[in-house]
Amino acid sequence: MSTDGLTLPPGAPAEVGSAASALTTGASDLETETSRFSTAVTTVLADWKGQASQAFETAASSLRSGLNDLAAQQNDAAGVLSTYASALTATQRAATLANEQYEAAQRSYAATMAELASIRATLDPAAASATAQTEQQAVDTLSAAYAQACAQCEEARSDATQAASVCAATLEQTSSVIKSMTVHQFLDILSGPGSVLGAYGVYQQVKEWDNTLDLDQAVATDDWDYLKTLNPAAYKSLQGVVDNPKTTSAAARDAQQDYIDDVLSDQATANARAAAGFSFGGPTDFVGDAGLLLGAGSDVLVLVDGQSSVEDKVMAGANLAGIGTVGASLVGVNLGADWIPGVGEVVIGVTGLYFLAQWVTSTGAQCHTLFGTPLPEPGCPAP
Amino acid sequence: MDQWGLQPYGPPGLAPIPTVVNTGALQQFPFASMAEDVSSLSARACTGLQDAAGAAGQAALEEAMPDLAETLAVSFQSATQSLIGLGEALAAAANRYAGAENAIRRLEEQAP
Repeated sequence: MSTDGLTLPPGAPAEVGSAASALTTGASDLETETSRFSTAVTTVLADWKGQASQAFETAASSLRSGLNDLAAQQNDAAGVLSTYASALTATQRAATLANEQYEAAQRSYAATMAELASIRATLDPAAASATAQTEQQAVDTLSAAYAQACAQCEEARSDATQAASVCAATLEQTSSVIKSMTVHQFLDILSGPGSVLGAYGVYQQVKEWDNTLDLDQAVATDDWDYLKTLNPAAYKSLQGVVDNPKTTSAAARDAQQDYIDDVLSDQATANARAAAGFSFGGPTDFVGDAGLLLGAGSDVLVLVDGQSSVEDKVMAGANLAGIGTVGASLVGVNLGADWIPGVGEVVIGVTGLYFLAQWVTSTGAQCHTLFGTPLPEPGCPAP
Repeated sequence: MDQWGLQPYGPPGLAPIPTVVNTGALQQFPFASMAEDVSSLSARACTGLQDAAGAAGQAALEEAMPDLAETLAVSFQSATQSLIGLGEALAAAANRYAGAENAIRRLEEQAP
């Protein structure tokens, strides 16, 4: 932008101001959306408690914080852009004023020259030297006005450049903050709790399966050194019952069976908890679902085991198919059954619980002992 | 209700099997519409900045404003993906719990 060689600070402050307003409105809308998100999270968590919900709450809380930060950064950017728009307006106004003053000086000079020309036309010798002096003063005045206008315009341009520099530096800083926020927060909230929880789920599944095998073995071999460690308080109570001289052998046997039932029940609950583990969808689900592969291994063993019943093989096959369906979804392969969301999980859940129930039933059907001594039961060896 | 949010539950004769309540609330979380709204906000903010970059009149701002627009776009995209990811996680949890509940119902039917 220029006027007779005088350049005004460039830019369209109205458009910059409009962009700032759009950012402010967007930040406000984002805050509203974040508030809506918070309300929905609160509603969900009202009926959902426990570690899985806590992981979800942590992720949701991080996202809410991130969205609030994003809105705050937008507001900051809008503020600095608005300030720049105001500065640009002020500098352009100052430069325009300088131009107007110079134009006024030009008009004054033109008027003076016209008057001098009129005086010279009278050919009055006495007036000649006076007109020469007046002409010089007019030229000097116009030159001074031009110099002042140039200086003012240059100052305005310099101010605008300085304001733009400050604004750009702040926007770059805002970008930098948002970038670090993006990398370290939005992505982490997905991968962090998901991986931790997934790893925790794998750990739980492995641990509980291992515990189940140990318990199964201990019950089968009457390993009370192991069994008594599972629930010391209940075992102490059992010992009190057994050591009481008034306790009948039947009552002692029942108390022992109750203890075994309790530890079996506790283990079954632990297994079911591990099986109902919670993991995040998408790539971060990989760690959590890797635990499914462990189940696949045991299913294959059931299928190839010549001692397994037909029912066991059918259920193992279904469980394996369910695992395959979920596993395939991890690598993006669409199987026939995968069009129903969660079908793999349901199949795994149903067939897994079949094995759980079958294991509990078969374990409870064996002959019993009282601290290693066989109890007199029908169909069992004599004590 | 224990620390997992699971209630001991199960047919007589079987070990307690955990379940949860109100999986419907998990499934009905409005993540999809929120993700759309956030995406829309992103488009508006970024377009405004891009359009105004040329009007800033200064080289420094003509670089900084599009850069900020791009950063905001990435950030909004991450936020949108986070919302979608949380929605998927919630849906997966709801499906898994629903599957467990179905399994429990089957076992109840089969229990003597």
